Amino acid sequence: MASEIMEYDFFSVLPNEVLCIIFYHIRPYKQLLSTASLVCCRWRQIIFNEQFTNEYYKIKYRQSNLIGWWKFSKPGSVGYDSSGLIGEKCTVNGTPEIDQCFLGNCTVFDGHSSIRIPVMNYPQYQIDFYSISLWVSFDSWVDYNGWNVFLAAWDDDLNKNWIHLGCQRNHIQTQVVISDTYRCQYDCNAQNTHINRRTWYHIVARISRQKQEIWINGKLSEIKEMTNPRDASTGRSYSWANEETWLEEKMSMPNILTIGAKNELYEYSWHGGRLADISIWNCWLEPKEIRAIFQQKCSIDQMKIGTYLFSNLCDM
Amino acid sequence: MATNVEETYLYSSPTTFKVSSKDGEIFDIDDSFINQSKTIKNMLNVLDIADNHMPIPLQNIKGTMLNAAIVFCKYHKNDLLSIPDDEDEDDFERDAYEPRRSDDISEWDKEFIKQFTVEEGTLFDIIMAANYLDIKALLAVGCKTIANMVRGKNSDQVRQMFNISYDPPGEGLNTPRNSVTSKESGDNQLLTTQEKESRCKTPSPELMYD
Repeated sequence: MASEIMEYDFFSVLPNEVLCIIFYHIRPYKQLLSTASLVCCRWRQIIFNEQFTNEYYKIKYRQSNLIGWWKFSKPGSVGYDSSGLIGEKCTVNGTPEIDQCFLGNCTVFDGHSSIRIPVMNYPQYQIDFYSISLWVSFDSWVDYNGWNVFLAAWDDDLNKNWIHLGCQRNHIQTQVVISDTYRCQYDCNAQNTHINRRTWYHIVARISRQKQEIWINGKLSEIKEMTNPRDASTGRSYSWANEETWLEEKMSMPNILTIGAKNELYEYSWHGGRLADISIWNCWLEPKEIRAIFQQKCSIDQMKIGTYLFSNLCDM
Repeated sequence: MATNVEETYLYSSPTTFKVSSKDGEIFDIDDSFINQSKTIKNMLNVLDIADNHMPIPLQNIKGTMLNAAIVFCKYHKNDLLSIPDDEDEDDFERDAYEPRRSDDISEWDKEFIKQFTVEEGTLFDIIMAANYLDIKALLAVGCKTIANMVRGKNSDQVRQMFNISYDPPGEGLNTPRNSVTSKESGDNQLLTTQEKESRCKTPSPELMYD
């Protein structure tokens, strides 16, 4: 009986809009393309569609990947996390002001302000594979050799050094610490990009245990491998670390995430600049997403990956 | 976005209604079902049903599926508190002040959906019922379940698992007109992969990779 019933193609009764919902849940996109799109002509025609692809990448289907999102759109609550994970649970120090920008809202930092988000109790943040996307603009260009930190989860006293993302001497840089024992710090320094004043830049940091990447304005600017202790920039006796077992050493995890400064002491504060649409993902943003965000100059909830892909298909 | 007062109270005097399935079974439904089924909610508003003794006919849904949908809605009745009811699903702002996350299938939902199978087609029946009744949470559970079955399989395995033929009958690459050795096509040569791809008129998956 069951085998007779199974001879029927039940998918044929499902309308296209239901098939779309099924496909939205088949991730990653590569799997959807390499498997589902090859099942039959109907599936293929649904999947290879600009509107479908736009919808597939919408945040409402990817909320489990988005762990932090500061779009600065909630009146009176500059530190509100719109991802749905943390919400209001933050401390605002100083007076970071909300202003208008091409994305909607941004926050202006004056060097004495920061937003502090305790993430130590969120397992979603205790990860060594993630990406951060943000827009940044320098209002004033002080001849300053120190750091301007956009975002950090960096506490030396507690050995919690997850990420340090900022600008030093006109170069965008990320830092990560591997190993509680050897405290090897790896700096990824994008030296090939000149930063201008009053210009918005889209910056993405993709971090894993093996490497860091910095993308600026849709282009991969720098890679830093972290597979060898000898490649570390600084560290505690890191030259003694065992290279054979190095990959077993874990990445340092976050305690408090700070936007606009390195830590509560306002060390290396983001001085005279703006930040907009900061998002943190528990996955790596795909190159096409990074390029689409930059090309479309939009917030992550406005990006149209399908439009980007189909309009650039000839260039691929 | 704002709640329409009329919309809320039209069906609020009797809090239970009767519905009848395709096969004649009659069920009582209450707010837990009405609030989650946009179809029923709209039906009640449009029809302005005052007499709750006459069952509302649901001719597209079997009794077993309707019963399951009612059980599902009863279990999820409190979920409604965090799900805004509006028409604009694209407006992500609506979630901004009320955190809501749509992660994987919960344990209860996993157990619930196990009673439906692909072999007998009941998994598709419950998805169709959820789609007809417009119960978004149930539709999502059904669709995620199918998506999980597809994940990790290759296209041959998916076709085999769901008994899908590559092309609809009489259409596509397998029809005599388009077959690889077709005489009607004017050539008796085997088509190359590129030629087959071009006949599909859709870009190759490889082009979409990064």
